[in-house]
Amino acid sequence: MSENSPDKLAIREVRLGATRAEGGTREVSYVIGGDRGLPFCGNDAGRRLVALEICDDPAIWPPVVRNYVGDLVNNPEDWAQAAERRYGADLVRLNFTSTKKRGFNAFADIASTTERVLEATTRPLIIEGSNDPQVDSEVFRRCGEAGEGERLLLGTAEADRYRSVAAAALAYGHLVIAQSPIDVNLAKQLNILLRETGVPEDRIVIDPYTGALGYGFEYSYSVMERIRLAAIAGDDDLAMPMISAPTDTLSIREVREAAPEEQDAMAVAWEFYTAYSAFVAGASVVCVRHPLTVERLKKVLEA
Amino acid sequence: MNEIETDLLDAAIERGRIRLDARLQTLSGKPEYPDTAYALPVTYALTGIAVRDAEGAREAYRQSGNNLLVACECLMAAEGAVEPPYTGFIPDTVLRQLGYTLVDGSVIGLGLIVGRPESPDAAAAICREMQEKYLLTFLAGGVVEALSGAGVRLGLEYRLVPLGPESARGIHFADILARIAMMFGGVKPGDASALLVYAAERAKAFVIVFPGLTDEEIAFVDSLRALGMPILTVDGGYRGGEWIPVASGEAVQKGMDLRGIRVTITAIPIPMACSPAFEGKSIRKEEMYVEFGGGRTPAFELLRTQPREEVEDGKVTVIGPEVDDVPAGSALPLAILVDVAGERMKPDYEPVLERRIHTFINYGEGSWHVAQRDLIWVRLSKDAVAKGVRIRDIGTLLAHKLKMEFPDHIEAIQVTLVTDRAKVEELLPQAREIYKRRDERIAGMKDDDVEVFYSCTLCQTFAPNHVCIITPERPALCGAITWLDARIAHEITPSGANQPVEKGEVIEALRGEFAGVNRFVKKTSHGETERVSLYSIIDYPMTACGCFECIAAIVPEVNGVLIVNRDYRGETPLGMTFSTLAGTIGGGAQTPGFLGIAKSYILSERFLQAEGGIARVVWMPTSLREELGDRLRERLAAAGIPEMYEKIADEVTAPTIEDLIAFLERVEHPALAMKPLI
Repeated sequence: MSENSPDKLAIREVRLGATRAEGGTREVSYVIGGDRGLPFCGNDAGRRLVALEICDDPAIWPPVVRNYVGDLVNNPEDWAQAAERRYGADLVRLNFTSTKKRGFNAFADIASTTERVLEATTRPLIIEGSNDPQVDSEVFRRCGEAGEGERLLLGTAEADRYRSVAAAALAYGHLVIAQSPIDVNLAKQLNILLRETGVPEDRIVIDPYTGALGYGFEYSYSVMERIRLAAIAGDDDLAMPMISAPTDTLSIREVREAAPEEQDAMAVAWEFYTAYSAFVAGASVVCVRHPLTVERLKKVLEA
Repeated sequence: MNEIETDLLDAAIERGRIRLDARLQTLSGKPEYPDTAYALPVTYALTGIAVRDAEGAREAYRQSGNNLLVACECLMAAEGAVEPPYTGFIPDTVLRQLGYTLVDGSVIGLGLIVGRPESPDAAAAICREMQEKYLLTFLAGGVVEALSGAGVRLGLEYRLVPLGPESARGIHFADILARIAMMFGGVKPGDASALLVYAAERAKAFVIVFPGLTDEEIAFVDSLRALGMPILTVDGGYRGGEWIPVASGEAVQKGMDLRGIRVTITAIPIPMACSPAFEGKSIRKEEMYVEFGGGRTPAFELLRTQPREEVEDGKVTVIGPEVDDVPAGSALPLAILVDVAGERMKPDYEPVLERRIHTFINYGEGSWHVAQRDLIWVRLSKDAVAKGVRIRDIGTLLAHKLKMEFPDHIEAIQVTLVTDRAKVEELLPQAREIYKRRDERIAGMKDDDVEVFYSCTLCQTFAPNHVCIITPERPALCGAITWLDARIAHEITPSGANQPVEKGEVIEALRGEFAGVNRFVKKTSHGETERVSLYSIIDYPMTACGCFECIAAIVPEVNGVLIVNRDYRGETPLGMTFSTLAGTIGGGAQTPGFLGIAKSYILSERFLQAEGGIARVVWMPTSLREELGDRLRERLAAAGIPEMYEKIADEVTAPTIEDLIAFLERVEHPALAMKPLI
């Protein structure tokens, strides 16, 4: 297809997850991207997914979520299963918070948790590995290997530490979340670096970094808008779907200091409006942590 | 090279080739490897043929143009497995992990060692060095036994992989490389040239050969050269052909040099933290243990390119008293002399690297640096000195950081810190001479001399559609990046914010409008700006982000241009302050009549060339005029209007527009008589 062909998609299609026929074990796989224009303007493919984020070590997880899901926090596979069956998430994002502990070295657990969560779920899986160069290599290798063939969406590659994620994606057939700090040029540069490492362009999802509503979200919004506009104007290095994880929303003062009976409502409101705004700005996948936010987002998307 | 010896190696290669060829022709077994999706990987990658039987092997060999690697692989595949501890053929699952470490950067290169070393200790030393330098080493032949005998632990976890008891088992090294290229490099089976490119550029490997190879093994090892691997021979075993003799103690370094493999160090051995996080922190007088320069003592910094043999990598020398030789609150003189060497290092790059001294010293938790060249001012904090930080550590910090930041340009670096007053004063004039020559070098460069300008889009973070075009005669409007700086920045980070811009066809020479520049700006400003004049303030002027050092603005009443610098807080005769003006012109919009500029652009011959140049300047704050001082006088003299220096009004002689008109008329400013601006 030529550069200016009207058939050209502005945003590349990216397939998350793999069914048995595709070499994995998922019951469904999702295609995101494929848009020709701005979101909600009639020319986008309208593929929007809501992920519920869970973790393997709840010590640093927001109290409001811990209180709501109760015992599930101690069991990633039950939590993941509930995310799909009870809370209605399109997919699960598994965050390996255990790797943030000083001197982390339980690498075998990374592999077994990945396997167990894959076993407990039927839909594509997003994995947030470590974010410490000391352990990146081993963590990404273990989860990459455990999920071989499943087309996991692996996060997070950043400009100064993308090699391990890229290597895991290349070695075991996964996708990469490329995160840049609210900067369109750095987003582009990271995509180029990943390409040079050998990661195919249809295996990259951009994470422009998301601040909480009222705490810098407007910057995220502008940069998402800019990334999308650049892609529509023909910039191939930015023509990837976007993922947004407004994880900061649950630790802001308004949520932390809300009266106990209002905590859930406040948390959900903040997550919902931030995540929904991210959809409006062009995100294809949003990751939230409060189960009730999932329900609310799904309802609005269906309306 | 000795001709007879050359003949000997070549003859052995030829004999080996004939024997391998003959053996393949009579091959009758079933050549196959277990646990792989890549059949016989080298053969598969080179020819696209998945060999299943002897006939297929011969066909692939023929199609490969009788490539000996194919012959060796097919013959080896028919021979079957080896006993532990040897690995033999490595299955795909394990290989994926190996490839992973290579992409991931935990392994930076690959080595193959074959033959039987005369001294196991020498072989052990080579292996130890390979491990220390993050290389993954494969072993085949007598070397394995020799190493085990010397107590060296072998295995994948030690990054020393024993492939097999015969050197011929080294063929697995080639199949590993071929599979990594197909798995990770997107090399398609049958695309031989893609494989060779991948092997040459990505999978950086070399071979070390000890004596004791059969003719067939010699022919096999020689055929590895096709994959871009240099063959290094140690222990004087082989000479001739394309093989490179080295002393065993130098083999690893030689191999790394030949393949451009560099170890990156991440931890700097100094007793203080070093990170950008400390960059903004200053050290106040009462926190300071010792300071250098800043007017109290002579001090300067200088980075120079030297011949490789004159630079001892990592060496730090202190000449004169150390920090703990003087009491708290002291001032010492200082010369920071950084010598670098590298094949790709050019004298043009020196100022760019030298500028990083400022950044890196500020990275230190207890060290602080301002200004540049012979104006530097450096402080070490009391806390840092109490923790053991010495001036020597600043040298170590600089040596490491510069090498980490510019790995492609700096092969060796040494730092000398002089705190001896007499010595500093002796070196200072030489340094000033070099600064002067550098200024002349960029000063002498003209826009007409180059075909390529550079862009800067660093500021698109907050001015999304702004693009700076940097030319030899017009630096970036922030004043921080010259054309040379942009060029090296591009060399170092080819995908970064400074990109080459082809000038293309000249559309209008006086205004400085070029077709190539317009194309670039249109694309990079996301269609916002279609035309740019590099030398005009009125017709299609360059956009601005917000970082400009100065603003030039036309003053229609007097047919001239005023310039106001960021540091000037008062009002201009236009009735607006710098910040009010800045608010009007920033953000990436084209604003005819206003321009964001660097101070040094005022002194350029290209300054407002379309409007008549420097003669248009009617007003600037005294602080700016004094700062430009002699350089401005020289520029005016060169333009043939030396008397104009006194004719430029300022906030004292002309605070308002009425005062300005009166002043300019009184001094008969040339702008009054020039072609109307509007």
